[in-house]
Amino acid sequence: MIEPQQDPLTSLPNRHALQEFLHSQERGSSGLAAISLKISRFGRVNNSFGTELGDKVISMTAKRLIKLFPDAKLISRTHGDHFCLVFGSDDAVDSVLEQLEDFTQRPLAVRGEVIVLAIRTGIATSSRCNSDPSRLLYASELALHHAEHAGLKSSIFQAEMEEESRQAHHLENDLRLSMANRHFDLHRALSNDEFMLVYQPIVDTETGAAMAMEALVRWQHPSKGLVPPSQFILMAEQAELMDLLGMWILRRAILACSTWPAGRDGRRVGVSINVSPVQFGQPKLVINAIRQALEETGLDPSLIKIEITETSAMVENMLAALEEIRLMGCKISLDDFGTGYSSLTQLNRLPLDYLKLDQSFITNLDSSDAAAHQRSTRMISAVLSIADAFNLEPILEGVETDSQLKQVKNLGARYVQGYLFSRPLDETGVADFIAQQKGG
Amino acid sequence: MENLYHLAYISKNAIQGTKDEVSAQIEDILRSAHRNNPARGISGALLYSGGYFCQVIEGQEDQVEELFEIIQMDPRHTEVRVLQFVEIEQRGFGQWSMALAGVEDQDSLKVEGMLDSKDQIEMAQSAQALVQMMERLVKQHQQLA
Repeated sequence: MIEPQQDPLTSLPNRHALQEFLHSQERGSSGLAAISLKISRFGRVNNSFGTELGDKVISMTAKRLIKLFPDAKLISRTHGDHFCLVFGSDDAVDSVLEQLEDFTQRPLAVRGEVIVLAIRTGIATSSRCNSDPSRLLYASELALHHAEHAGLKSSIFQAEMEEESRQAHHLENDLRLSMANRHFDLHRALSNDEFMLVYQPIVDTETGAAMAMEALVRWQHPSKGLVPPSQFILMAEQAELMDLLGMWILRRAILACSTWPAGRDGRRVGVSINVSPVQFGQPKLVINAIRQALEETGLDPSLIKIEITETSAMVENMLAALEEIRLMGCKISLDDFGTGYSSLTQLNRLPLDYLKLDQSFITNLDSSDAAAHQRSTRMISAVLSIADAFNLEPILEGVETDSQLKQVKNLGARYVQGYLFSRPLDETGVADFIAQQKGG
Repeated sequence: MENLYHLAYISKNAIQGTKDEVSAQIEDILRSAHRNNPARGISGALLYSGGYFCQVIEGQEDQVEELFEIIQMDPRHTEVRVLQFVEIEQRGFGQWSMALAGVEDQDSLKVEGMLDSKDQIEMAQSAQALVQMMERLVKQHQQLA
């Protein structure tokens, strides 16, 4: 089959044609430069004005690029809102960037809307790519990626970027391998695992006892040491491994909870488990993992608290699944309330029991700036009232000092979590924490 | 009914040269407008005031968009700022492929002030005022001619 060479929307050469062109350039030919360009926040244009208008913006951009750079060897629309310009000389780069800057300052007028575009660029020159023109597209896109991550308008390809990207790739591969092994291990003893759970207590300020433990996953990498969840959860989500990891977490946490002794108030300590929005792509897996673990352990379902975060995209899938989880007797907790997509409409729609207030609410309670302190107090009271109005039990995260604890208690908060009580604990630590509270 | 749009913008003159050279360039702009606009179904008006161009173009959506893209990329001006881009029922300058509303050395029309409009409402009001003023000037100009 012959691959198409042209992008149908803009009539520019497509990615395939660009790659063929670069491969056809003589190796060792110095002076070639590629500039990968991405329209920043183009998604917003599409969301606000519709894809038809978005397409128009893309074709107008293409026309402008053609007009601006008659000397370009090739201008390609590589995909979506990405273009790549190839020039015959390294020297061209500075003036091209200047012209591009000027280009973004000229608004586009489309169907009664005036749109000003911002762009980001990644630059690669053949001298930095071992004079191998076929690597220019890859290198310029890597530089663009780097610029995006670093929040820069533009960045020039350097060999280290390749190393960075290779490492990220390795980590993802390791994760995949580790998960593949885990798939077999799940039905065997769960000792010697690279993944482990730690638990941070959620404390009832009325009794001083732990109401539940929030399960947090850690990855003890054999050679890289402790990999923070901020790195591997996103990776697992992207690599479509989250379902597997998520099921392991659910099962492991529920099993652990069933072994914990009762607290000083005689009540069993529950477990709060984070479920990624990605997992609601296959809600059956989540539901079955909970059901199975509950059957195995005979645990009171109300001890299981499923923590979800708000996302706009997954709500439809989530809704039915959460209702089913709740029918089983488990509780649902909305995490990070007050950041991201928080909306009152969602509070109304989702079947919830707990509302976890993001720690950013607490931070300013210790502020010496009276205005900031007052704002923070007002904000917490307002959110506590919201929780009350929706019949939800609020949990305040990030309590780190006695003064913060005193203040949030005065404001009427009952459940709190934070370093003041405990850092995340391993399983022995959890048993000790509960026992200590019993005596104390 | 045709899909009529009206676009008004202000831009800063980038033509380097004497007063006469600037005037010659403006004449050149008008000449090419008179040559090309009738076929595109474009009408409008142009005003030059103390280093600023003000132009109104009206016509079918695609034609206005396409022409504005050409205008945008013209190196003879910079800092193009759209004051108004709306659908209209009727043309304001229907008789002219590009009427000249005037050439003023000093910014006596206070175009610069319009660029400081604080918000969209104020901007819309400025744009409205500008377009009305251009209509008046075009009529005066035509009577004098």
